[in-house]
Amino acid sequence: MLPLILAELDQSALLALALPLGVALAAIGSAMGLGRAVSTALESMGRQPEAAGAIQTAMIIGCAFIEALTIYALLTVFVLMGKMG
Amino acid sequence: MNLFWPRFLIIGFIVIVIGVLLMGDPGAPAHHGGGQIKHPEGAAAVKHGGAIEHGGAAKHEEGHDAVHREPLLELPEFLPNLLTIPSFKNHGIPVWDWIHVYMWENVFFSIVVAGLLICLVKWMQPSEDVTDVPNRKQTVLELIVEKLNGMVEGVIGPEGKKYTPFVGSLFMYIWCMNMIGLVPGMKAATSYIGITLGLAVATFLYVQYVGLRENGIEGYLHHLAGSPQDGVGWAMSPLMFVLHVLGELIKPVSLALRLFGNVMGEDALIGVFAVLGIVLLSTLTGGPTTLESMMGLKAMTTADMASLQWFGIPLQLPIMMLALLTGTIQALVFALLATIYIFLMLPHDHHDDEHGHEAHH
Repeated sequence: MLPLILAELDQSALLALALPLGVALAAIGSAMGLGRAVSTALESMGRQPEAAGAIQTAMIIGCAFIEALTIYALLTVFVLMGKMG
Repeated sequence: MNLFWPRFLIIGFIVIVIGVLLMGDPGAPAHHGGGQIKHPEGAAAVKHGGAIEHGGAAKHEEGHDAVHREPLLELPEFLPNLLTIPSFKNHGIPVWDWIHVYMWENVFFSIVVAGLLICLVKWMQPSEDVTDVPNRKQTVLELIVEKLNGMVEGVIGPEGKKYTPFVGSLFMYIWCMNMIGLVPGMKAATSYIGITLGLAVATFLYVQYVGLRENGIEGYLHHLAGSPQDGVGWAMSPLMFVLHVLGELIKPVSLALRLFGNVMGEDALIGVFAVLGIVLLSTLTGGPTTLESMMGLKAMTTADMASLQWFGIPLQLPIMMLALLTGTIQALVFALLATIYIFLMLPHDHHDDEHGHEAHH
C-alpha cells in the first residue's frame, strides 16, 4: 500500500506534504519552550514584584532566542517553496 | 578619522556588495498586491491551454534574462516601495530591471537609513563643547547613550564602556532599518539576507579583533583551544580547538538568519494580509471574487483586475503593529548577543568574576 502511494507522489507533492509538517513540528517545540519560559518568569515575578522589570526584559530576550529556531524552520520553507512548481 | 571601530561596519558593507554581485540572480522578482492576484481563472485557463497574462508574463521574463538561472531563494511577495514602483513601470529598461532583480533597493534603503541617522545625530548634537545645562536635544541623545551603556555594562562590567559605541550604533542602525520598513514607500533593508549577513560579518570581525587585542595572539589561540590549564586540558585541546572555531563561525550565521527570518517573515505577512484585504474588497467592486468570475461566467485577465481596484481593506495594520514589536526585539537581541560574544572573548579568570559581580551592585 505504502509503495503504491509513494510511487504516485512527485517532487512538488512530497514538498507540499512535508514543508507544512516541518513548520508545524517546529511550532510545537517552540510553543512548549516558550510556555515554560513565560510561566517561570511569571511565577518569579509573583514571588518578587520589585524585580519585575528585570525579569520581564530577560523573559523577552529569552523568548526571542527560542523563537529564532522556529524562524529557521520557516526559512527552509521559503527556500524550498520555489521548487514546488 | 580618530575612531577605529567604524571600519568594521565599512568592511561589512563591502561584504554585502561583493556578495550581492557574486550571487548573480538572487531570486524571482517580488510581485505586488494589487497587480497580481491569484484567481481560479488562471488555473482553469492554463489547463485549457489558453494564452493568459500569467503564461505570457512568464514567457516574457524567460526571454528577458540573457542567462536564465534557477532562483536561489524564492522570496515571498512584499508591499511595493519607492524603488520597485518605478522599476515595474519601466519594465524593459535595463537599469530599472537591474535594480529590482538584483535587489539593489535594499542597499539603497540601508544607505538612506544610515544617512538619516547621521543627519539626525548631527542636528541634535550641541554646538559648544560643554554647557552647564544641556538643552532638550542633547538630553535625548544622552538618554539614549546612557540606556545603551547600561545594557553593555550590565553584561561586561565597567570596562564595557569602550564597546558601547559599536554595540550602540549596531542597535540604533538595526532598529531604525526595521522601523522604516513600516513607512509606506520604504522597505526594511534587513529583510534581505545580504544586509543582515553584512552586519553579522562586521560583528564577527569586530569580536575577533577585540579578542586579538585584549588577549594577544597567544592568548587568543589559547582561548580558542579551550583554555587548557592541566594535562587533561592539553590533551583535549585539538578537539576543543575545532569545536570553538566552528562555534565562532556559526555565531554570525545564526545572528544573520535570526534577524533576516524575523523581519522577512513580518514583511511577507504584511504582503499577504494586504493582498487578502484587496481580494476581500473585490467582492464589492467587481473583482475576481465576485460570483460571476468565480463561477467561470466572466473571464478576467490580470490587466482587468489591476484596472478595477487598487485599494482594499487595510487588514495589514494589526500585522504592522506586531512588526513594530518584533523589529524592536530583534534589534535588541542582535545587539545583546554581540555584547555577549565580546564578553566571552575578554580574558575572564576565575578571580575576576568576583570583581565583575561587585561592580553590578
